[in-house]
Amino acid sequence: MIEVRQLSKQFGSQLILDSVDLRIESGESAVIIGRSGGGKSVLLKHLIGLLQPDTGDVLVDGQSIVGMNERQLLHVREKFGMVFQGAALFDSMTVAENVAFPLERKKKYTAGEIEKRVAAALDMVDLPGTQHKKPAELSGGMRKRVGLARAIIYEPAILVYDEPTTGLDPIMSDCIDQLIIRVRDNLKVTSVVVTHDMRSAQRVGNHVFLLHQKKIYAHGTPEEIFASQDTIVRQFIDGVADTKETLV
Amino acid sequence: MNFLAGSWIGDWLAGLGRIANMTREAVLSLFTFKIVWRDLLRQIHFIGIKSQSVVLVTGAFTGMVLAAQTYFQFHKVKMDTATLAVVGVSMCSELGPVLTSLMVAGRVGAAIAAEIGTMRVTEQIDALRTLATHPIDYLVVPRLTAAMIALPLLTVEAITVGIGAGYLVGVFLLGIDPTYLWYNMLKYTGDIDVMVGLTKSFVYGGIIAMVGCYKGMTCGMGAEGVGRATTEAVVYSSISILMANFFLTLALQRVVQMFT
Repeated sequence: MIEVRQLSKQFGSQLILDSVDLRIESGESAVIIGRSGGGKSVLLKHLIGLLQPDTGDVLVDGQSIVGMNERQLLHVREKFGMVFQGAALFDSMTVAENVAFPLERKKKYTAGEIEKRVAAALDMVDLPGTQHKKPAELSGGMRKRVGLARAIIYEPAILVYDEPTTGLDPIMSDCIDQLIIRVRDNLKVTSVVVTHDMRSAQRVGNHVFLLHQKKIYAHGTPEEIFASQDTIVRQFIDGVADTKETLV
Repeated sequence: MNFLAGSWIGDWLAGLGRIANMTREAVLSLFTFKIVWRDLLRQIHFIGIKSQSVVLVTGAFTGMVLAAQTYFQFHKVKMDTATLAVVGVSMCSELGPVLTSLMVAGRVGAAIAAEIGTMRVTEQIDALRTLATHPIDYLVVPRLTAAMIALPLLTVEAITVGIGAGYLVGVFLLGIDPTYLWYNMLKYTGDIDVMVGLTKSFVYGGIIAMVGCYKGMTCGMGAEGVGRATTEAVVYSSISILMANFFLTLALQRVVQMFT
């Protein structure tokens, strides 16, 4: 379970998040939607301790991670797997070395075990036989899938996805959505997905949070959110720009 | 200290504090973290083996020009055979460690800052953190250890080549008697000069690695940020080496006096 209490974050003079409250239950598939530059990724990075809030608290399984030092956070992060917007693969390594990285660092597995688990993880993301390729040889969608394979290989309890379908064509976006659902159902993980892709949000989430003007403006099941008649929620779901903003 | 906030001196002091913290963290990690030998050997190869050509050329031409200049002055007072002694002492205690470190700072410091800076802007450092790996353990410790091993070895190489090149210039170009030239070099160049040079290069290796890593890990976003970090890594490590050289020379002189 992840709980965010009254979290605020400011960069310089710019307030990004203002007293955000959020609660994600274990096994839930939460989707955080909101406008580009609205602070969704910043909120996500707080959940995993990559950023520390100015005020407020973040609790993971009831344990506050605010104020922990980097070494304490490493233990908390063993529960998490993260898929980055740009995949963040280590470009000096092959696909197999990237996916094997978390296991190699644990030093608990033999080379044979690691090889088997890498192959299984790559199979799960529909990329068998790509072990020897370098990240530069892969397309954007393939890189994200390798990133997902790297995140699931050590079987974390919580998977967080930062804009998993951004920059991909609709078919590849659908493929990534199906992968997220497959991983969620097969591994029984808690998923947190940040996106501004409404189709994706509707498909992968069972709890949707709308981040608007630095706060969680609305939340509920996808059915509730997508049926909402609230002006702000509708504007976002229907993708209608504010006339004043368009002119500005 | 609030009156310093936002001023260049405040930023400079804050930067100094951050690099000191990072160094402390790296040294603590050095003693508690099990070294990954593959990473360490890769860094020693990059810092040590791949700097060979730069160090050999620097060492050889420094020894040669030093021999020639010394001879031109000493010849006036009939002290030709003391030429290589000056080359030996200078190469061991000053020019060997300082010039080797400056050359390595240009090549290695820039590469470290560019590599780590690129990792930062492409979120690879955040990825390391999410994979329960401390960036200091994985990125800084192998580079720091490798630089502190490689720099003294490169310095020994530069000193040897410098003295050898100075000898060849003295004997074959300037016509100095080889026996007295070599004898005087051995007489006036002591073990202590070599130890001073090695101690300095060990410290400068640490400076190059730490400044490069710090600049990479704190670089601004985008290509401009990486470019600036790379330049600053070379400039700041070079300046730090030159400043540290003065203070180290004084400190080591005191140590030498205590034991002689």
